[in-house]
Amino acid sequence: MRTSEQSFAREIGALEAVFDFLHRFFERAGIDPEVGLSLDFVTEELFTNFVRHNDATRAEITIRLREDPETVSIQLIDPDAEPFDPTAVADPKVDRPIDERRAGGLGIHLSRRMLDELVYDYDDRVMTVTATKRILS
Amino acid sequence: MFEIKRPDPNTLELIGRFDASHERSAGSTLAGVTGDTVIDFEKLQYISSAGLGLLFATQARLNRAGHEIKLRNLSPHIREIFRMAGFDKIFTIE
Repeated sequence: MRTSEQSFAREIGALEAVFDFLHRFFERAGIDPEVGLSLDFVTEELFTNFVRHNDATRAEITIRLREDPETVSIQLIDPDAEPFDPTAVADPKVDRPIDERRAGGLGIHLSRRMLDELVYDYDDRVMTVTATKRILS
Repeated sequence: MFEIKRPDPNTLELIGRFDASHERSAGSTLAGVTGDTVIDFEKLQYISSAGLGLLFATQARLNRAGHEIKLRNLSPHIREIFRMAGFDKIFTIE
C-alpha cells in the first residue's frame, strides 16, 4: 500500500500545486493516464467546492492519497468547514435540450459517474470526503 | 498551462489543461465569440467542470442568437466526459 499527504492553501490558485502532488503520486504508483485524468477531475471538483463553500476561514485543506492493488482513494479534509455533502447533490437533467438545462451540479454528477464510491463525513466542523476508484477490474 | 488561440475569427484552439484557475481568462475570451464557431480540442489534454460550464454558457448564448459552436478532435477521455454530461446532445461533435 502506498500513501501520501499534503496540505494546500484554500484558494483556486493552489490547483497547480494540487495537480503536481497528484501527478507525482500517480507516476510512482503507475496509475493509468486515463484513470489519472478522471482522478484529476474529481479532485479539482471537490477541492474547488471546498474553497468556494467555505471562504470564512484560511485553514489549509489536506489531501490524503492511498493506493493499493485494487483501488485508489483520494481524501480531502477541511478542518473548519460549513457542511456541504456532495453525495446529496441532485443529478442535473443531462438528457434535456439546452434551453431546459443549467450547468450547475454537473461536476459532482460527473465525479460520481467516474468513481466507485464517494463517502461524506462531517464531525465538529471537520469535513472529510473520500473518493475511491477501482483500478483492478 | 492553458491557452486559447484564435487562428481566425470563427475558430478557437484549446491548448493544455483547462481547469478552474483559468476560468476568468477563458470566460473573457469566450465572451468575445459572437458567430458560428469551431472549437478544436486536438491539443487539449484535460477539462474540468469549470471549462464545461463556460462552454455550456457560451453555446446557450450563441444558440439564442441563432448561432452554434461545433467541436472537433476530442480525445477519448474528453469525448466520454461530454457523453456523460449529455453535451453530445447540445454540441455538434465532429
